[in-house]
Amino acid sequence: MSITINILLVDDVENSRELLRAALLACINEHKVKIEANFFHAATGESIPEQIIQHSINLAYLDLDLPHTGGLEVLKQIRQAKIDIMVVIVSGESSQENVSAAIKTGANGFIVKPFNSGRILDSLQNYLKRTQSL
Amino acid sequence: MNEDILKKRYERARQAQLSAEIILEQKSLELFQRNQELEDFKENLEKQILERTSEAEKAKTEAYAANQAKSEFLANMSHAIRTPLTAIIGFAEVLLQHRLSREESAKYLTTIIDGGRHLTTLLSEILDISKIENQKLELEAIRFNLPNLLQDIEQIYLFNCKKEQLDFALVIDSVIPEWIVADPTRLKQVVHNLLSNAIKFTETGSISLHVKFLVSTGTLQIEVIDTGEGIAIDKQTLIFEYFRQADSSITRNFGGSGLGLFITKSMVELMGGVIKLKSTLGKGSNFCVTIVCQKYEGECDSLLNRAIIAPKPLVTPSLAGNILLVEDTEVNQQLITFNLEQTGAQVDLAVNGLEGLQKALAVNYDVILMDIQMPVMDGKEAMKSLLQLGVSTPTYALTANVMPSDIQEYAAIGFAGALSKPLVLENLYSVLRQHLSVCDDTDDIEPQGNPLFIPSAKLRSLFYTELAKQHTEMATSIDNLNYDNLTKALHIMKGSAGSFGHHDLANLAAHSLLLLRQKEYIQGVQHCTKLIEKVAEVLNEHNN
Repeated sequence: MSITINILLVDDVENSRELLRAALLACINEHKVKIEANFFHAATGESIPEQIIQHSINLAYLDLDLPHTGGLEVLKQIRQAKIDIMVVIVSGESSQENVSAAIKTGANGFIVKPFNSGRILDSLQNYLKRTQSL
Repeated sequence: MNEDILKKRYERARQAQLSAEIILEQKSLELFQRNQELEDFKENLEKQILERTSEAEKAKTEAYAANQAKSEFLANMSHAIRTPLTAIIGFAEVLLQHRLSREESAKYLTTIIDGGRHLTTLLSEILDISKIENQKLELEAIRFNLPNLLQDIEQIYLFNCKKEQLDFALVIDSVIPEWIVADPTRLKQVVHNLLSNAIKFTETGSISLHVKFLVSTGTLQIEVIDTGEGIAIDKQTLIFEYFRQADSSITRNFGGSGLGLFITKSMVELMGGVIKLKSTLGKGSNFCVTIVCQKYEGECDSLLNRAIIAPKPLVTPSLAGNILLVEDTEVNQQLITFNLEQTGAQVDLAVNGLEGLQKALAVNYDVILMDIQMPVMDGKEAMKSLLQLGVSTPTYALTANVMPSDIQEYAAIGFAGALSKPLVLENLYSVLRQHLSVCDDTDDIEPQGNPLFIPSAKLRSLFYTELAKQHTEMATSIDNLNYDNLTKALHIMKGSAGSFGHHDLANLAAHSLLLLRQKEYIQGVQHCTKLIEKVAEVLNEHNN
C-alpha cells in the first residue's frame, strides 16, 4: 500500500525549493511507509489558496520571507479560505516574533534554514499521523 | 310598678357588674400571664445575651490563641529557616574569599549541602502542613512490596544509627504479607519521621523497628522503640500538636521544626490509622502506629532469606548526544548544566519557553528538559507550541509540582515525563540513558584494551607524547583545582592507556574518575597523585 502526497513548495529562491525537495525525498525514501510524492512549486505568495485547490495539495511548505505577500500573510489567506491542509513555515531565522506569529496564525510546523533533517522528518510524520487519525 | 322597674334595674346592674368583674378577672389573668411571659422572655434574652457574650469571648480567646500560634509558628519558622541559610551563605562566602585546603573546602561544602537539604525537608513539611490544614493531602492506593519497603528503610537506618553509634534492628514479629495496597510514600514518611525522631532523642543504646500483621483484622502494626530520654506524661499529648515540642528549647538543642509529629499523626489518621505513645522519662519511648490495609496478598515470614543488596553508588553514565535545558533560574542553570555535562553530553541552554522553542526548532536535540514556571513563555505553553509545530523531541517537565494531578496534566499536555526539583540525579540519569546513546556504562571500573588492536610504532610514540601532555595537565589541574581539565585528562588516559598495555594506568584513571564524579574529591585527588607518580615512572622507562 502506498500513500500519495501532493506537496507545494513556496519559496522565491529556486535553490531553496530544490534543497527542501531533496531533503523531503531523502526522508520519503527512507520511510517505512511507501510514499509517492508529487511536488509543485511556487516562487511567489500570490494566489496560493487557488493553487492548493487546483492541485489538491495536502502539505505546503511556505517560506516566511517572500516578496510582496509574505508567508504568514499566505498562511492567513489559507486559513481564512477554510482550507484544512498542513502548512509548515520555513524561515531563515527562528526569531521570537516569527515563531510566536506562526503559532498564532495556525502553522503546523516551523522549519529553520539551514534545514535540519529532524524537523523535516517530523513534518512528514505529523502529516501521516494526521491522515491516519482522519 | 316603680318598685318593679327599680328591681329590674338593680338586677341588670348587678348582672352587668358581675360580668364586668368576670371580664376584669379574665383580663387581669391575661395581663398576669402576659407579664409572666414577658418576664420569661426577658430572662431568656438575658441568658442568651450572656451565652452569646461568653461564646464571643471564647471565640475571641481562640482567635487570639490561633493568632498567637501562627505568630509563634512564623517566629519558629523564620528561626528554622535562618539557621541553615546562615550556614549556607556564611560558608559559601568563606569558600569564595579564601583559598582553603581541599579538606577544609570539602568540609564546608558538605555543610552547605546539608543546609540545603535541611531547607528542602522544612519546605516539604510546611507544604504538608498547609495541605493537611486545607484538607488537600492526597492519598494514593498503590500495591507495593512491603518487605522491600522495610528493607529500604533498614538499609538507611543501619547506616544512620551506626553514624550516631546506636544499634538498629528491624524485627518482624509475625508473618507479614508480601504485597499490600496503601500509600507507600506516606507510609515511608511516617516511619522515617518516627525513626529520625528516635535517633535525635537517643544518645546511647538502640532503636528498633517492630512490624506485625494481624490477619484477623488486616491490621499492620509498626512500632518504633528507642532507649532515649523519654517524654514526661504531661507532655505526651502536647508533642503531637503542631509546632509544639515537649520543651521549646528542644528546637534549639535538637533542631527540627516541631512539625514532624503533627504531620505524622495527621498522615496516620488520614490513612485511617491510629498512633499511640508509651513513654517513661529517662527510659525511652515507644511509638506505635496501626493501619488497616484493605487488600493484601502473599506471605513473607521473615526477611532473613532475602538477598542483601548493598546500595549501589551512583555512577555518572558516559553519554553522547545533545540536551536542551530550558530554565530561567541561574542557580539551577548552573547546577543542572554541571550535572548534565558530567555525562559528556552536549548541553544547550535557553532561559525561557520561547527561547527554548526557538532552539528546539533549529537544532535536533535528543531530549529537552523544560522548567515549568518561566517568564515570557512558561513550560506548559512551550510544550503546547512544540506539539502544534510537530516537534517530536521527547520533552520532560522539571518542576516542584509533582502531585499525581500535576503529573497527569503534564502527560495530557504532551510531556514525556516529569522530574521533580530538586533533581534526583538517579532519576535524571535514567531519563538521559533512555534518549542518549550510552558510551561505556559497564566498563567504568575496569576498562580493558581491545585485544585485537595492536598499535603501530608510530601510534605508540604518539601515545607517549600525549601521555606526557596529560601528565603535565593533571599536575597543573590539581594545583589549580581545575576538576574539569582533570576529568578530561583522566578520561583520555582511561580510554587509551589500556590499548598500549598500561592497564594499571587505565584502571587507576577510571577509579579516580569515578571518585571525582561521586564528588569524593579528597580521595579522587589522592588517587590522581598516585597516578601522576605512575605515569612519571612509565614515561621515564619509555625515555630510557
